[in-house]
Amino acid sequence: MYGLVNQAIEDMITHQFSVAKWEEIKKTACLGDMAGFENMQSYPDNLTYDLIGAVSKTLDITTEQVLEAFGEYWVLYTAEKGYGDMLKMAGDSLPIFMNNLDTLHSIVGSMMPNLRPPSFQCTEITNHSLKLHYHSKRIGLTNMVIGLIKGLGKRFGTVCEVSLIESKKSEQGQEDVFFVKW
Amino acid sequence: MQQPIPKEFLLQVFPFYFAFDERLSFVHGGHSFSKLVENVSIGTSIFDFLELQRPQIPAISIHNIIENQRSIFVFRLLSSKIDLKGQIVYSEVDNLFFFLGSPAVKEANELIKNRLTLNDFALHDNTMEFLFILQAYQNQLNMRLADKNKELEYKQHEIEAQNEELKQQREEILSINERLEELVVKRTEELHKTIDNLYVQNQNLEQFSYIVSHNIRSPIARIMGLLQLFDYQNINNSFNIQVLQYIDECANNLNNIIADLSEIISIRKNLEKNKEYVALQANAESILESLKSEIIQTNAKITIESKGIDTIFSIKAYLQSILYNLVSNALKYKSSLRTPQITIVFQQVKGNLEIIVRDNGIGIDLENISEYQIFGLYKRVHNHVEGKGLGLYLVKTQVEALNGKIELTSTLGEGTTFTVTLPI
Repeated sequence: MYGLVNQAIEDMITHQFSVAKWEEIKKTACLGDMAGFENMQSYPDNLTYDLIGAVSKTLDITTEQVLEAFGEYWVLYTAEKGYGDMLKMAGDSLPIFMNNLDTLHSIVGSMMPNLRPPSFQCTEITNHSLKLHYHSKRIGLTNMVIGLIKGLGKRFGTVCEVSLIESKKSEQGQEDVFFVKW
Repeated sequence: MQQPIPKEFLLQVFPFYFAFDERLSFVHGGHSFSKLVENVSIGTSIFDFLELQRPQIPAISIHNIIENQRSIFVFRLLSSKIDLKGQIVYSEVDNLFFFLGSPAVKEANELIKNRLTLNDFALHDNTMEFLFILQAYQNQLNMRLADKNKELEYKQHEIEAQNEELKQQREEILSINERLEELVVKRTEELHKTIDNLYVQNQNLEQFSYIVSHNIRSPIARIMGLLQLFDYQNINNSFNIQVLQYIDECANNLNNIIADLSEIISIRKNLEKNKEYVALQANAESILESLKSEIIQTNAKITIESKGIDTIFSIKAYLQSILYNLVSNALKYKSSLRTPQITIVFQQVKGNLEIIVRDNGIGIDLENISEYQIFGLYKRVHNHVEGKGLGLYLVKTQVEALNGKIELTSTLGEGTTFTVTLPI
């Protein structure tokens, strides 16, 4: 994963808790010596998973909770850290934005060769709901997607419910379907 | 056989397209194009809403456009100031020129200002990728800049702290310097005092060596002279008895001198003798007792007056010696013309004890005799009166040892008054 993701985790912990907490988490993840992350540099996926695990251990919450919280924070973080205009262009409402999720990730993926960004597809779109199909080569980030959608809901001031209706793990990766109602 | 270009196809693939005819009049355009160019109607000259940026050709004409079909065309839209970049294709069937392209911008913000979103771009369009790359690098630079700024700020704080420390140290040094200067002034003063003291001591020492060489030698010379007169041939010569009597007198005299000198040395050495409360009246009476024979012999009248003070905390032996010498001097230098009258007064004046000894003796010619001659060692004012000249020097030494002073007033032929002032 790119440094930006790890930076976002750091930012979330230092803002919602403290710098000391982040240092503690880094130590737990055996990253005590790491000074900081370069946002455009590619880091091993395991490093991010270790961090998520360390956050879970240190804050005494499940990794699912950590991932969901992080997904939500990710929307805020990227908007603040210079990608606000890109997000604005991707839509000014929850359904339009979700429709553009895949394009957005493709755009980002085209310039970051190691990113392997996930794919999104919207089906059965109505005025108040849709099914979001999520495909990722990475396994186990389902809850991050839930957090991401909830974060988008907050961004557009739209109250929404997200439920996981299908979930499949295989060698191809993770395939989930979410039902989003707003 | 050429087919007309389907409008629906164009709308999907080139949402920023526009078509114009050979008169350079607008015919139709894509929905994204319409967002950027408002209120354009069919038949309007394209130069009403845009100007050509590239290629740089002398004048735009159909001929020039056909000639430059391999060129990239850049049009600036007059209302939105956005450049559209693309190519121009001529369709014979439609008899129309088609501009196919999309915005050439460097910041997403330019698009947002014109209400363009991701959905206004064809999926194959790389504009968004390009903008994203620019944005990502911009972000990276900004982050590095922020880091550098933080570093600089930290350094600035460090420098400020160091400056503050330096300032404090400088102030400390200044204050130490000031204190040093004060100390130097104080020490210099002390040094001057010591030098003055040494000067006085030196004078005293000189005087001492003078006494030793002169006053001790003179009785010894006298003894030696007398011994030469001694009749060794005739031991039983009655003259010898006379000589021996004189020698005895000289030896006694010498002994007294040596005793007095040791007394003076001891006063100088022991400035802190034991002090005690001395009853002034009783003390004076005991001294008069010890001078009883002289008093009877001279028929002197002596009175003692105490005014407001009975005792003093002082060195008793010194007080006795001072009073003894002053009274004995008064008896010694009596006038042969009248009965000696001596008054002793003890009085308190401004926190001091004054001891006054007043007589009606022969007096001293103060105009011709200096104080040095009166109080100096072995100085004698009156050569016709018996005295070894040590008494007043002893008195002065003792008074000074008690931090006091001694003064005198006198009128020749009428009498003398000594005033000793001692701190209580």
